[in-house]
Amino acid sequence: MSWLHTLLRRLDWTLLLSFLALMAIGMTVLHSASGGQETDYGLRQLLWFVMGLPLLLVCALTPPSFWFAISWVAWGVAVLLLLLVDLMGLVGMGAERWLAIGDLHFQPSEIGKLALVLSLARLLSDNRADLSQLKWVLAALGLAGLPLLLVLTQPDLGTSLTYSFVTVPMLIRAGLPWSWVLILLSPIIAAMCSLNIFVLLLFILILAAVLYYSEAGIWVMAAALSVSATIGFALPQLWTLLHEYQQKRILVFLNPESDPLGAGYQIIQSKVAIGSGGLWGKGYMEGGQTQLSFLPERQTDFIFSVLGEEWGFVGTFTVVALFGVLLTRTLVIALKHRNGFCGLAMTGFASVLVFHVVVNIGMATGIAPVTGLPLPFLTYGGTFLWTCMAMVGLLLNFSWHRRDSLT
Amino acid sequence: MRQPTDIQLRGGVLVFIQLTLLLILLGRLVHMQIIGREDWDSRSLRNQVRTQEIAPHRGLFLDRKGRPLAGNRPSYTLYGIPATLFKDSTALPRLAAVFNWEEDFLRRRLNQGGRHSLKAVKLVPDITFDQRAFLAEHRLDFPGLQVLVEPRRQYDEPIAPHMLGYLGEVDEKELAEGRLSDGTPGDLIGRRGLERHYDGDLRGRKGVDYLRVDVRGRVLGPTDILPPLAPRNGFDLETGLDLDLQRMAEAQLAGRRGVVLLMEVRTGRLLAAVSKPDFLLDWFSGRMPPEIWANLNDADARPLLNRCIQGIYPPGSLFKVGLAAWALEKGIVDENWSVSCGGSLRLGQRVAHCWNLKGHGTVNMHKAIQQSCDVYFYQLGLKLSPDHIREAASWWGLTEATGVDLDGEKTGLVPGNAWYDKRFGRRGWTKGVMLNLAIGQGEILVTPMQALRFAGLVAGRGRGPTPHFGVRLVDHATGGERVLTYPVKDLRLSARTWSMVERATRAVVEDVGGTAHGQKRPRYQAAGKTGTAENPHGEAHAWYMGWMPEPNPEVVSVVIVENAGHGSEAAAPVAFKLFDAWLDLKEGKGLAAPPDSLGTPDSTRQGNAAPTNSASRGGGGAFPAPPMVGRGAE
Repeated sequence: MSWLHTLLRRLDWTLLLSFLALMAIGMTVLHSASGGQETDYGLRQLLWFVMGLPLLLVCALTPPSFWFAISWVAWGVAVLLLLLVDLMGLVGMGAERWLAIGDLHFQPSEIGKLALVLSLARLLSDNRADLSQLKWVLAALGLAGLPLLLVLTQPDLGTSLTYSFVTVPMLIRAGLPWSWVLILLSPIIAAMCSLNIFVLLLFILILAAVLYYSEAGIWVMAAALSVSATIGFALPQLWTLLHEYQQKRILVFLNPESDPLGAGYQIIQSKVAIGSGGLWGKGYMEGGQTQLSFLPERQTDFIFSVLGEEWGFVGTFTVVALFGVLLTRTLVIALKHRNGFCGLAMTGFASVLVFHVVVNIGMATGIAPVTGLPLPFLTYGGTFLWTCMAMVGLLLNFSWHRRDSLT
Repeated sequence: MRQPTDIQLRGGVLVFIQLTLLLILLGRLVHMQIIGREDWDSRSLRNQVRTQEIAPHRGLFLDRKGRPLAGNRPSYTLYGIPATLFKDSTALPRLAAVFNWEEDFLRRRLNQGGRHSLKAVKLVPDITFDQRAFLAEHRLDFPGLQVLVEPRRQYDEPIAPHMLGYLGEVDEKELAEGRLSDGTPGDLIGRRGLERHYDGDLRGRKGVDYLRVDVRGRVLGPTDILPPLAPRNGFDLETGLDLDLQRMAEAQLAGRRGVVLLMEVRTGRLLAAVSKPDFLLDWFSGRMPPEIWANLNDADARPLLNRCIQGIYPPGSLFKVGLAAWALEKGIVDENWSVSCGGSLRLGQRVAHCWNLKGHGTVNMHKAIQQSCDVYFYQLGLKLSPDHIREAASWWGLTEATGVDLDGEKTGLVPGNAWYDKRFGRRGWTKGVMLNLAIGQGEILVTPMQALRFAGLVAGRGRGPTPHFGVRLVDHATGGERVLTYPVKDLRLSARTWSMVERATRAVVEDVGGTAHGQKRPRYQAAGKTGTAENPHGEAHAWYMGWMPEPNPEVVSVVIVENAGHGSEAAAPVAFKLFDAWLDLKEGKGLAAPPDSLGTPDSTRQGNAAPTNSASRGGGGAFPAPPMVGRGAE
């Protein structure tokens, strides 16, 4: 029974079991969240899961060389689909994220997540790739930038943030010089420092010093410094140019509780739900907030709040810990992977997942803005669940081949 | 090739960052669920909190003596909770059937609020006493409905409807654009007039009430976990209008079409502004009967048109004052330049008549203005091109909007050479065009508000503040105020020119032979200019612009009465009645009560529409407010 031995030895049980555990918890919570409604979302989620299994298996069983080979095509197809959605959005005069083929609706930006990770992994794993050279960095940024812009115009802020968040860890894993990491992050840091002029000046000084000693080219250095300075100094000016209602929108985005009737309503209810769960929770199907439908969007964006109310800290800790196990395991394998492409792709998938987890749970607990990003494996919904299952399939696949250096 | 230690370090950094992020989440959860548990738990147990908005009072319009021009009354508004109403599929059809409401409309409204939302959505404003009684009786049959008292506009007398303007329900597009920062479907937004221009200041900010409800959604009472957020009432707008003068002006124009404007020369504050025919604002505050709506859209009378800023007319002879001053200042002619008027001017085949067919004899500039001699201005026009006319008009602000604080202001038309070149070919325009333009006829068009700006500049001897209604915005709660400021137009002409203009315009009223001499008053001296705007569609429009008391004018007036013939007969008397009244008020005398005709707009008579009670700030909502003497529905 050597195949069984191989299976036991090579299959990544840690990944598989933590994934299945999260799925099971998700369906249980969804069942409770649909209490009092005609539809049992837990059952329907199971249906989605079963329908997604073939996809997972295809992703898991096709050799990595296949994924390496199609990564450019995948990127191209994703960009085309995103363009198509944008054009249809123009025609439809509204925010369009969906493409419909017959009865099947899907969001190209989900395919984009997979395609972006695969194509970046391919680019960065190229033997000639040298990230100390500007052209390679720019190529990588371009690869991520185009789909990012297309998603941003939909407009889908959450997903475009995902795209940009994914790129940086992959670049780090691929050996981007640390000074470049700083340059890439400098506009964001400058924006955060723009509140205080002295902090901003200090940051620019530090940036200049680091760049000087890192021997970055003079032009790169000048560009990075001027971009940071422009953003840092212009942002407060731009702010005053905005209409009052535009300012208010941004403030509400950053602090929803300032708008208790609108965006803050969900956050307040969500926080009450999670907080009142306590250590042990109120018990399955017993959550007052949940069962009385005080919690809006409880099948989708705020599923974590239902978990928090009914299962308490025990439940939330379990879920966060399971994510921790799954994601850490993924990164560790990604790090040790003999094959550059697989290692980079795994880093990318881990980043996609961790970003969703942090932003979603952060939103439910009131420490992150409301972006509408779903919680992997737990949130009800077909397209996103299938994306996550595809990612898990690829992770299992690449992990299986963790000692193979060739694709 | 990278060093193995480097890649180890990089991997380590990534793992570290990832774990840090997850640990932050765990820390937050520990904080919320274990450390802060007591606090949250008490919220949850007593809670099942529902939020409900509290409508602020819309700011009032006040006249210059603080008398309200528009107030608020309590209105009973029906709200519905989407989640509850949708749970019972028969609820909406039953409700619609009982009151004969459109079920589709109710459904759409509730959907706008979100199918599963527990936030009450505005369904029907101004429900009647009977409807309220029925709902109270059948409360158990219609769970999820509630009736709240909200302030709604009330008008004590039909005054200046075009200027005050009205409100309308915000549409979905405006909501999506975020025009109202705290807007929800069913909210009102300023649609016309001052209501629109000052909407953001008048509106105020909604408050929030946190209510405890039981499992069935019945309100148990307030919560103590979140204090209610009091609404911030809108700012009152103190205008320069004078209720007495406004009434007087409205009465003067009753049954006619036209505009009356009265303004303080020094400040630019409008004391009275009338556009007739008009309508009742109450029609827009409650529900409007369809036959009234049809009348309001009458293509001929156009009662919804604010003729003050949207009616365009040829300025007629009013323009002669502006053109003469410009020609004098530019040195085209001097004040002794004379013309012989025999009642007409022959120009090739065509004969252009003076209004006085008997002729004015020898006419210099002074006499030309005083007696409004057309032939003098024909002769002057023959020296000019349309561009000159345009330049003269632009000096007096006739080529641009006045900037009055109303939206939708029009600007008329003062065509220059380019315009005529385009129309008739290069230099193709005839002398006939110039004859017309020189007496303010032909293609030249202005609004009464532009004419007022012109008159104001003459009366102020070159200093012309922007005509305006709003003086101050007052925060009722804090007593704070914001004084509104407006630009001042400055026209610098030589003392000689001013002297000429002053003497000639005063002679129009004060000296024998002046076109408005019939209105001369013993109590004060006045100056001005009459006008008669030829109108291809019928009788000419009568214009008058005037100011008093000379020699230091304090108020300026512009009057136009459509299809009423000569300005001296139809328009000037209206202006002088206002001057008399203004002086009476200034000297502390009361005004005679205006005639009855004021009560209903002449465009569309609607017997029961005029409200009678006195206004005050609205109240009676779910929050403390000053007592209200309202027009109660009971």
